[in-house]
Amino acid sequence: MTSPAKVQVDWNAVEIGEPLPAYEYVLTQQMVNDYRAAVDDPQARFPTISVRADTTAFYEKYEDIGSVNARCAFRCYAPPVAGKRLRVTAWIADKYIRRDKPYLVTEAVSVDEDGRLIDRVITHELKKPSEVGKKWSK
Amino acid sequence: MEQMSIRVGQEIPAISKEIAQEKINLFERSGGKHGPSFFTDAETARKTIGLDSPMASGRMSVSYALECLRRFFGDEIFNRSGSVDLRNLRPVRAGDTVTISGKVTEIRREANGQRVVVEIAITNQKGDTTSAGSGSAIVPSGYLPVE
Repeated sequence: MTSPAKVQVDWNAVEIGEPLPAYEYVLTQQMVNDYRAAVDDPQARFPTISVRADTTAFYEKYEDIGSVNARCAFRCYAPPVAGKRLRVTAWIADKYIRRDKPYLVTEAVSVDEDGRLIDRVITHELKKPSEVGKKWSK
Repeated sequence: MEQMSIRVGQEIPAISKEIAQEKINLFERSGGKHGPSFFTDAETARKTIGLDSPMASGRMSVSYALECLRRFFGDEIFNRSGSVDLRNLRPVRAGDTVTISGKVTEIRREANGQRVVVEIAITNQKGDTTSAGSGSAIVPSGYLPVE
């Protein structure tokens, strides 16, 4: 991936529906093997979830101090095949404030080089990661 | 075609996972993330999320839920129509053992079959819920007995 200079994220300025940089990558057998070993599931067919397709696209455009995955949805359409190139299309799906904390929702779909829709991921990211420690450090 | 027997209220078989830092690190590497992060590095975890040790990605919990539902519905059904939607409620860290369990809450007719909805809970070894949400799959017509 090559990208222009990144911009510091401004929650107020981010627009719902805003496209994020599309990108491509090849899903390798090593990625599949590592993912299966990481989750102790030799039959796992969607290693794409560890790629973080949506937030990877977000961080191609934006910089911030990090964020925490508050909610994540994943939909399976067709298992990806190792060795195939995948194209990721991502966008800002929503943003909201809950209990005075800012959240951004990113969404991405992955399609393989044969045009098969592989999966969809939707992530609600808490853009104030220090909140985790405030609540759970003890 | 072998018919399935699914009913509302049915509990699905639970699975358990032991969380090790090596597994968390491997999960990150498998997705192409090689630098230090609050998932892999204690110092980064202290600075960014205020925890004294790294935590596992919420996507690992989603992965476990995907496995639990896939085992229940079968590969052919779940890998083509399955979904999981989880809220992450507590950090999961190395040394934890999490158990993924679920219960069928709804079966509703859709165009190509019946969507079976499962309530999902992930709990740690202390009995605390770390993630909660739901998942589903569309069981094609013919797999479930006609109502």
